[in-house]
Amino acid sequence: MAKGKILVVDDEIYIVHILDFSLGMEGYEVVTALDGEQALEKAHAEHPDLIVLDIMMPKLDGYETCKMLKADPATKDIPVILLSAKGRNVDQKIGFEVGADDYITKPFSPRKLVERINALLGQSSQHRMQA
Amino acid sequence: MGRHAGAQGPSANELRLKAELDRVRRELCKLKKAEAEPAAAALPAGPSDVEAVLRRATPGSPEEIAALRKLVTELTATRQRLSRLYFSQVEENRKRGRRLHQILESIGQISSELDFDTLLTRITETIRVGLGFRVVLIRIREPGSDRLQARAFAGVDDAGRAALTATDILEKDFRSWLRDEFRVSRSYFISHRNEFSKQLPEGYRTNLGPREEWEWHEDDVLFIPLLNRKSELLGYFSVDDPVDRLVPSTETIELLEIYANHAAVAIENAWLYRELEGQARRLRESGQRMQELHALKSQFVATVSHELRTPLTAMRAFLDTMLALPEGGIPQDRLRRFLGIMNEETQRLARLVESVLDLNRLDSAEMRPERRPVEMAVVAEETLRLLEPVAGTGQVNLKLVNDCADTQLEADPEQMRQLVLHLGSNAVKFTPAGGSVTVLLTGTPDEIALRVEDTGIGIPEEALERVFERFYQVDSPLVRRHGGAGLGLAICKSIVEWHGGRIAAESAPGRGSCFTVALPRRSGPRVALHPDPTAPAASEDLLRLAIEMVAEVMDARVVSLLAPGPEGDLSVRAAIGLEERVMREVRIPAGTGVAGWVAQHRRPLCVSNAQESSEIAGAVEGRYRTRTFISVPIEGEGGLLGVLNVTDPVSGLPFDAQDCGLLLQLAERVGATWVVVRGAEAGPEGAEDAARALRQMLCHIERRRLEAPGRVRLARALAQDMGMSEGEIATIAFAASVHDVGMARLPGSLRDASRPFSGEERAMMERHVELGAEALEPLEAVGAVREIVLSHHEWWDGTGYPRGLREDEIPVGARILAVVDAWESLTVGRAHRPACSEQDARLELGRLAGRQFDPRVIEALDRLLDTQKVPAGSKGTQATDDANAIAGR
Repeated sequence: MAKGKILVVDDEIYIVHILDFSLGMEGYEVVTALDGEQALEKAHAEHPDLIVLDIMMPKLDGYETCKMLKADPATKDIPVILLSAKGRNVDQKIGFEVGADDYITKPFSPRKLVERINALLGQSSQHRMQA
Repeated sequence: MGRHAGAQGPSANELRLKAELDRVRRELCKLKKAEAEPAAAALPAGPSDVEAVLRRATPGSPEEIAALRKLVTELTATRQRLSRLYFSQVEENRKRGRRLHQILESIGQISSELDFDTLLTRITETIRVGLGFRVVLIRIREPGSDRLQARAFAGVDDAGRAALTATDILEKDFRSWLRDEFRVSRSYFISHRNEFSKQLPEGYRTNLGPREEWEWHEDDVLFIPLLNRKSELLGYFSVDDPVDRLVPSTETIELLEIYANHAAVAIENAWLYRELEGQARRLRESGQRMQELHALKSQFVATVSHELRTPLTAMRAFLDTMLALPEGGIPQDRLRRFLGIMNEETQRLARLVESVLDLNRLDSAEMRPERRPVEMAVVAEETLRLLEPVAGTGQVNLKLVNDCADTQLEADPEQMRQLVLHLGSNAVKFTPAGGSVTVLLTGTPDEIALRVEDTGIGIPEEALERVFERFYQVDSPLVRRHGGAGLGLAICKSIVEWHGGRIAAESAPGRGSCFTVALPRRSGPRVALHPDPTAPAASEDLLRLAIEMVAEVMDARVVSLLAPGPEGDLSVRAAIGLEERVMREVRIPAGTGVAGWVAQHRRPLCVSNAQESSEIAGAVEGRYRTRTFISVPIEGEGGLLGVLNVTDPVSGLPFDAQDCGLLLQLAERVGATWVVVRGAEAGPEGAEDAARALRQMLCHIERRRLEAPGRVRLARALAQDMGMSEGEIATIAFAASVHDVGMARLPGSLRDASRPFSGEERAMMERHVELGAEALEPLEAVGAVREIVLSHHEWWDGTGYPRGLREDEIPVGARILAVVDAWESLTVGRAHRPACSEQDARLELGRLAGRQFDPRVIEALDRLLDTQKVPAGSKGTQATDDANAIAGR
């Protein structure tokens, strides 16, 4: 039985790969999307417990996607972690303004991401990773 | 007055008469004192004979009374005459006062008038109204010009204005008219009776009708020179047709001169203001440019950092995950895949860094591409071979088709490889398995075309225009997966533009893309010629060369040379950057447009901003793409050879007076060479020499400009400080950029100045000045530049080379260059000697003042240094010329 379902959204296919692997190892079920539009579809269809969302994406960027998720009663309660190569404070501020629950800058450590996800979902770490 | 004592006392009548007499006498004295000359003339010549009668007559006798009566009558008449004179004098004074007041008032106006043409018009009007001349003309010598041009008129009709404007007076001619014999105060009056007046050019003629001998004659000339505080000639007034018909008195001339003094100050103020305004504008523009550049840079940094982070993120994420897992906690196949991905990302990062560096190299001017013969077919074949493994993996069929027998062109081989590599790998990357990429080479006599066609995913229409922009990537997962940096096509574009070619893309989504590159076989901007069948072949070569030279030196994209036809119409003989149609069809009648104006007036025209210049705004409206240009006449011995136009500077900054000076200097050389080449007597050898010299100078100027931009500025500043004329300054500045042209003729080993020279080498080294002068000989009709070049290693005390001249025997330009050279050598350093501080350099030069250097030039340098006016950039670049400018070190 999985700890929960995580939707990972990034147009960088390798990031999707590695998060799929890391979160899988942590005991989460992972669904993926490669852009904002796909993310909205999957959010409705899959009812994830948490969404990891990249900002710089084609079609619909992370901010817009997040805003729409938070505006929709069906998805507004799903926690969102924004993931971005933009590290400046102003970007973070916009991130929180659009309703994101947390913000992680690239390059990031997948372990840190797992810790944040665990914290947001009130889960404890399942696998003790080797430090 | 003597008189007898009488027995009888004087009668009351007598007393009254005597009192009257005394009063008249007193008044007479007063008048005499006040108006010495005219009053004296109006007085009776000697003591009246009445007085003699009085002396003899018995007091109180009827004789005496009659005599006294007569005296009283005489004196009364005198008194009346005198008081009339007195009042007319008072009236005259009042009038003069009014005129002075008027002048003072208008001087106030003039001083506050900064627009030049309004200022001059106001001056002429005030002279006409205030000083009583019906015709007034002002001629002005613009800074840097040797001509006096008619600029303002009063009382001259349109035809007269046109005629006056069309004929300039050379400064040297004007000076030759200012003979001492004509001098009145500080002005010059040349009477029509003087034979010399027939030698003056016919100016504006007024028909004054018959005149008395002593009246102003229509051929009389009065010049009032306009001099500034340094007694430099700014121009002159001339006046004609005085209202009072009289030749002006010294006094009127002095009034005109007061006027001239103030006008000179006002004119200089206006010039200064104009210059300041130009500088302020340039500052504003460069400020704006800096801001733009800054914004570009910020954007570039943001984009680059984003592009760098993407591969880094992937690498870090994988590493982090792998490190966190216990040993053996990751399946072997997964581990291999992860390592593969990290490897790919590392390469992506490396490629990105490489691309950024490439682009930077292309951007920076110092990395000009090499130009040598390149066999394009060979380059394409070799490069595509590198792509074969990638194409094989992706199952893409890659082939090269050569449809051109001769694929040789002049280009940078490394850049050609990059071009093919970027276009080829792009095509392979975006073509799915089973597709094909075809590289096709075709050629025309002028161009080589490279076509890279694929059957890949294609580019959406809206993206086509932007694919050549930096970091532009079509938004699609496939593109992202193939993750280039988005710089490849930007690099291709830069390369193609450097080679003067074109690049274009055609595509439709799903139907593949096709990139076409056309490269000229002969690289560099192409000079288009409008052939003249009667001209010798050498002259065609020369024109091509001249245009290339001007484009290079002036850093301009558009250069054209217009020559007058038999009817005086100008047509384009040679050009860079003009459309063929323009070249064939344009005919400019004399006097119209900018070129026509320049041809007619034989005067350069430099426009920083065409819309701001009222003088030519009408002439250029809608004709020019850019708002800055220079147009200069090319003069030969027999008259105007043509007009040289330069516009569209690569820098985007407006041309200024310095550019104009440089272009004039170039035009002079082109003119001199052209005459040689056209002349039947020159023969092919002379023509070749001239062309070679021109080519050599071109290379040299170009190199000097990059290496030591400061020396020309320093030379200019020194010459300016020493009060030399604009013409002289321009010549010295030009000499400063070519004076070591002889170095290029020395063996290469000597040009490497990283070691001290042997005695023999030194002797050879010293020959460079002669070689330089020799190199310039075919170009220098006048020889001023040649003289400077030949003498810039002479010493003040006569111990220099090659001729051992001393002190004033050395041309002043050469004395200035010697100091510039030494200053540069000391402050910049040479390969075998480190740079020294500015302070030490000053001490060193000061020590040599009077021995090696002209003390006055050293003083000028000191002044510039004290006032911090040594131009920026006169130090800082590694200079490689005259290694031994400071002898004995």
